Amino acid sequence: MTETEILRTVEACLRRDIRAEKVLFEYFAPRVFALARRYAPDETAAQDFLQECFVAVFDRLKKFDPARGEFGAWLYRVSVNTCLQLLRREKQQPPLDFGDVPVLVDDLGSEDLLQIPEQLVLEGIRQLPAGYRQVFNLAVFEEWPHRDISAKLGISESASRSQLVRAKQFLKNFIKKSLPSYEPQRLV
Amino acid sequence: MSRNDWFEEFLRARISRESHAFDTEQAWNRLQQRRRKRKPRLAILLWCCGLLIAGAGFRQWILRDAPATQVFRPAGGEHAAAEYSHAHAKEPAKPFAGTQRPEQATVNSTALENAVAETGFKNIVNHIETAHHSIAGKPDLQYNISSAGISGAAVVEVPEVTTNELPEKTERQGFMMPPSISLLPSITPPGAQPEKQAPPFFEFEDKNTAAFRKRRKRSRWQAGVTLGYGLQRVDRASGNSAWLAGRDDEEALDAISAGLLVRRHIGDRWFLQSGVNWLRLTDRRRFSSESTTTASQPNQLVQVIVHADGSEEKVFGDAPVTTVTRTEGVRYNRYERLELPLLAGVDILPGLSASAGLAWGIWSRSSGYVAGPDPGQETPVSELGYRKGGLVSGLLQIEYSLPLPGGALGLGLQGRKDLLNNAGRDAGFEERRGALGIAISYRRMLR
Repeated sequence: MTETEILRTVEACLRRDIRAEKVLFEYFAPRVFALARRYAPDETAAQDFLQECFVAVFDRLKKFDPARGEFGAWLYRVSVNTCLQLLRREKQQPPLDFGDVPVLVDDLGSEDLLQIPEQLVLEGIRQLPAGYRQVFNLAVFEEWPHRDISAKLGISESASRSQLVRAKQFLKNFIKKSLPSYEPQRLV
Repeated sequence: MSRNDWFEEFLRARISRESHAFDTEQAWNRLQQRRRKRKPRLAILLWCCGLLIAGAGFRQWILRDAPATQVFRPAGGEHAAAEYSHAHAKEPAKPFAGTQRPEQATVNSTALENAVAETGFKNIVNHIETAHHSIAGKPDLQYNISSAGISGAAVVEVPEVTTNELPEKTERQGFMMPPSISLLPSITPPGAQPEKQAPPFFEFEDKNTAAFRKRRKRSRWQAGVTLGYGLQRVDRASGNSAWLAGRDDEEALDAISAGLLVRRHIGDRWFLQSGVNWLRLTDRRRFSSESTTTASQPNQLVQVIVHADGSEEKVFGDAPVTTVTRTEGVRYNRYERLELPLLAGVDILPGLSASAGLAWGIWSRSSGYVAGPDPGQETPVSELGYRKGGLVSGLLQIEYSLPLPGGALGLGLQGRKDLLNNAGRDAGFEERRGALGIAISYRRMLR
């Protein structure tokens, strides 16, 4: 789907054309769902996040300005913001205690990484507390600078940096620990 | 590239950007259901809000018109209490049959109300007696009131009069009310606890405010900048009036301030605020000066000679010429200070805070001129001992904070007044300046 076709579909959506909305949804939903899976604590929540993201997108469609960028980027940004809003509504989770986690980071070699399935990494991300997960996703996948993350989440830049470091530490340890006993069917 | 970056690259590569095993049809159907559900929910929410507002308004209206309920304790019984409601007492008196005089009854009922409000239960009894005498005017209308006998165990019954006739004879343990008065007594058992006040109907806290509070709890330190603008006032009343002569052409204008602030919450509601503040006060001075110069100018008319035949002869030559030059203008005198403020504040309501404190002047500078002792002379304000600026100033501020991501935007009223001046010893008086204006500040949460 070219950008012109997307814009034409968006115009139709603005005219409340349900078929155009469906086309837009089917085209972008897999990408948004992948995003939602990283932010949501589990698969069911990810499906809810996906719905909320598209509700927000269709609600704000008239605010989209083609002169300011591609539709896909705009939709992705709206989706990220919606996921962050949804996570903010969740109850505060207790902070993760990193004191007891042994440092296994250096043991993680490239051979190990080749064996790591996507589902395991995703599971590790979901094990992170909500705050750490947000910082991790924004920094690693959205590639936001820490200044923007701190402004968005209402934390200091140093907190954002330290949470990212700790989240990566936790993830490495989680992967390392899970490798020998990993059972793919258990996580599906 | 560090190992961490390599790990991030690995994660980005490992986690796919798209979900492959994804049933879009099912997700679309769920989305449609969700969107269909959402609209009625919004409508219901709006309806509920409307109903709540209408209900609250109606309740206010009812409470405004509803009479107060008073509790009286009879003097004869320590534990007895009768609750008297004025509600029915305000109803107009029904017309009486025969020789009864409803006007008088109404008057007496009002008197009873007043008596109830003023003197208590004993007077109720007296007024009931009076009312009965005046309404009926007949000896056969008997009643039996034993006020001293009313105790916690007493049963007081009130006949409900719905016809135009009074009951001919009523003998009871309690007493009888005239038809225009409906006494609804209720005896509180001895030792009964007073009724507890009901909790408020609902409490509302703004979502943003709640979020702001949450953030504020997370970080007690805040730092930011502040800007202020206000109108200033100069108080010179403590001085010798002779020094004030000729100063009326000066007019206090505005006060501009800018500063850096640090705020530390020391409890749920209390905070301390400090920082550095730069303040500039401006006076406008309208001045006028006259200068007189005399110089000998050539070719001036110095003499006119009138001859006998009526003709005139003008004589020109050198003559002194006096020129008066008047200069008028506007100048601005500015006084700048650098201060260290220290304020203590309290959050009065969510988002609304008040603070008060002192500001110590650590540096000051002034520029401009004032009229000198002699006409046409000017004196620099920096030489004026009475204008050395405030040493200690009092500050007062009321601020409304609007929560923002990672910080807060404050908008408030602020006032200041010089309390101590570092005026020179030779100064005949000292100026104390005050200002009242608005301030806007932006604070960021610190870790």
